[in-house]
Amino acid sequence: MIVGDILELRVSGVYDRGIPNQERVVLYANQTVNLGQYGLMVGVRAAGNSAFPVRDNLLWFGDGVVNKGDWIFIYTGPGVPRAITLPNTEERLYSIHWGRDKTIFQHPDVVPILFRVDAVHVPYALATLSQGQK
Amino acid sequence: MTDIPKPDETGSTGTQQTGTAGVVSVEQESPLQGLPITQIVEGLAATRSRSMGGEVAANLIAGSFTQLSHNFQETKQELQSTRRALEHAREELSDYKTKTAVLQERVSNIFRDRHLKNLSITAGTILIGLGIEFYRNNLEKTSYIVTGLGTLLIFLGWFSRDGGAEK
Repeated sequence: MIVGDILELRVSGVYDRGIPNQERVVLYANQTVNLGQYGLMVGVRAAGNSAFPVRDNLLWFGDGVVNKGDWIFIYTGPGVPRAITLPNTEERLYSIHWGRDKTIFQHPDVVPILFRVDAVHVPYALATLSQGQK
Repeated sequence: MTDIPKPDETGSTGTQQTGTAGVVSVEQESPLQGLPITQIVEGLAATRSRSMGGEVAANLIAGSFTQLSHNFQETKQELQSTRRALEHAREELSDYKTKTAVLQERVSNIFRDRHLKNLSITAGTILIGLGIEFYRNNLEKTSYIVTGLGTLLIFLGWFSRDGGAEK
């Protein structure tokens, strides 16, 4: 599958791979975006700059606007979300926690895949609708 | 590139453990197996076998397509793993090239360093000798300075390391 690049956010890297409670994926906002349209998958590195997603490994960031220059730290372990303003700047640092019991990225070939959602479909509860119409 | 900030408080609960060391095994193909053409031919063979020359011929054609598709997928995966191995080998080669360059530089510096060391030790010995002579001639202050300088030079000659980086 060939899709466009994500330019509004940049994956800066995976830091402290395999270290419990410190392992994190670091994102940097190149422009103001709503994180609700983005998420992370876990993938295995393939040829070139591609990766194959590992089944059942997805994190949706949730709605929230970040501005240009803000950092988003996604810790793979459990925790409480935090937002701080970096000293002497107007940049904010948001910490999100994936809530995984074990570290994910200890192997260098396991990589994060940042994705953007452009469209979704949720099926209506048809049975409930028909009951309401009666 | 901007440095990664280091927050004082991460918000982590501290209950996470280290995961398994091995790489996650994944099927590197779409869950919808096979190529589109194979799926079409298989579908035709199942529903329109008569148009494809009868049941036997249709199955043969579908089977051939499936086999070719399977071979193609296998070759693709082999190619991918070969590319990965090549990339790894390239990285190793690059590391070794860097090491070789550093070692070559160290070898070329060894002779120059040795001459400097020998010169330093010789000069140090001469200065100590002069210092002793000065002491004998009651020039104590000068003798201490010259002897100290000579000792320093000898120590420099003995203990200075060979040039070049460690790696």
